[in-house]
Amino acid sequence: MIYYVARRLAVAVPTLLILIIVSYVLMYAAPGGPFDTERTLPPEVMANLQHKYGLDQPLFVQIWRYVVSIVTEFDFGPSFQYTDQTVNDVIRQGFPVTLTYGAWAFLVAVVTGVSLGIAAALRHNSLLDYLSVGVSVGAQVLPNFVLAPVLTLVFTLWLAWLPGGGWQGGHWPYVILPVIALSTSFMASIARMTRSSMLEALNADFIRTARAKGLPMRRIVFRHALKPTMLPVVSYLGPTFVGMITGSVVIDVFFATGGIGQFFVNSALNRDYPVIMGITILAGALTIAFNLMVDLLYAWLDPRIRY
Amino acid sequence: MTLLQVRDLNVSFRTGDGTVNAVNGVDLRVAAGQAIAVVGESGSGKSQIMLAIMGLLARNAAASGSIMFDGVELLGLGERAFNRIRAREIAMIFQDPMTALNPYMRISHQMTEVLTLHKGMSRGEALGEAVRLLDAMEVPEARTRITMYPHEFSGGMRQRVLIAMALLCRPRLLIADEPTTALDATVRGQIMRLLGNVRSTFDTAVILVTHDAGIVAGHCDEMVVLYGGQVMESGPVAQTFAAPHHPYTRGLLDAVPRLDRDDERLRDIPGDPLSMHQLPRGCPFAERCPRADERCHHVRPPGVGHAPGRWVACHWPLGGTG
Repeated sequence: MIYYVARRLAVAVPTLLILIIVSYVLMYAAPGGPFDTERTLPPEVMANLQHKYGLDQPLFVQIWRYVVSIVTEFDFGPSFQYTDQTVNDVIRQGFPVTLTYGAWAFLVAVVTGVSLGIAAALRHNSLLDYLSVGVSVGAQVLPNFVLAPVLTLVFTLWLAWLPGGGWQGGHWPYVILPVIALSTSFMASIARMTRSSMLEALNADFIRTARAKGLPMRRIVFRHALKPTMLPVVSYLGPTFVGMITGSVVIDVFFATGGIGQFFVNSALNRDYPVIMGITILAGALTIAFNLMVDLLYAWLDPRIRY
Repeated sequence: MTLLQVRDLNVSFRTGDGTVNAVNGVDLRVAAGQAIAVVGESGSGKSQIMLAIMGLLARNAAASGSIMFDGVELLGLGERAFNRIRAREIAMIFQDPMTALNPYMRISHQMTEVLTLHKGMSRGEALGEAVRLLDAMEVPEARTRITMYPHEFSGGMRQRVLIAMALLCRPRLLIADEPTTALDATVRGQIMRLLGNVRSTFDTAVILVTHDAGIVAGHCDEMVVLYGGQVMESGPVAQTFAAPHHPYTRGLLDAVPRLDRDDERLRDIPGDPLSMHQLPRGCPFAERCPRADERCHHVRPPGVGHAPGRWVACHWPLGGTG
């Protein structure tokens, strides 16, 4: 098992390297540059800028320099757009925000989604079941760019309970609406997955054995059926968690939370190469880490899986 | 002493294309410590009878009649009351040992939870008792193997575990639903021998459900032959084997390979098992019966007691005047 983890981590290095190279090449191939403004700069100034940031070098030299500075100094370069800020500064500033509301949204989505799914499965074909399936489908087809304005309309403009934007260092009233807006559709898919997975688990032969043993239903559900129910859900949760903590553009823009998603979009629009690269690598590394965690969780859930 | 008395049991299922009548007016009696065999082809309703006794029928099933166990009516009993009978009084083992154990739980946990729940034992006591029963079922190195997961056991070993698990609370009735069907032929004999021991060692009555008339001989006292969810014939195993009264019983026995006779080829019963959607007015076996006449197709034959303990539902029974 330790050997397995070590091997997976070793594979992560070339994976990240490929990610860097592919992203860099794609960025390089895209038309436009970081210093293209509406007012054309004099050629000498442009050349100076290009030279200063090493953009006049051939592509492979640029990539080589970039990788070397990451490996030796953990330096992801300066931001082109935000002067006097490095990529590390940008991430240090934006990532805690995204991590906070992302992790809360994840927690809310998992807890309510799994509970709703189990409840629906246990009352299969009842009113509660139809209600929860209906709510789930509704929540899933409701995009967060629709949900977010509706939430602000109700809770900020009409009821005046919660602020409609801002972050204030993560003070709790500012966190609630972003968390709801981000978690709802994930909650819905988790609920639907849990429901069908639990229904399948409850049909298994070993559940019939458990019932023949005279076990009460609650024990059968939580001790016997929960693990097989969670297997497919868990494999969905890994990438979902990464997606949630690396930022949602809609949430960041709409609620002006200052999270990483906003930086990502701005940097893409402004060709702020180092920021794009930094956030891409962060998301890539997190994806690799959480996929590994999901695989380890799998082995814990299912004793037949051994590495 | 009568332990279990099933009277006029009917089980039907509401399905997308109509009602399926799986069990139609079945009577069954098991005395304490007795072993009876319930024999029939797949679809004869034998498993549904057992699930009805355990209160484990599917949600879309409806049952009527009476199932008396030691003075308690089981039909319509609530879940809570039933959970005090399951495992404690009546235990059941299922056909496929490969899927009947929970693959996500250690054997030890699956066994001890029965004892901690029903007998109020501590984890330690329960573990000791579980090991004792695995030993009795001849699971080698039970003390160490009990901590393993089901996938680390072979099919035969898993069935031993399931039998041991069923006996944890010393139930008075053990229902074994095709316990050897999914196993290798080489393991079948061992499992049948262990099930035979259960009666003598634990004084447990056994209902052995099987489609294989061959394993009935030597293991059971009485046998009940089912077809189309109805009892065709019942009686002591030795006499029924020697001289079956019902043509269907004859057909079943002829379909069993016998090593002591090589004069004839193995015979099958022509035709297909009954579709349970539309129950015939007459004898359910009439379509496939070599002795059937007009009356068989239109009038359901009444059950008739023959020699003491024997019973047959046939207009033209074998070896009798009818």
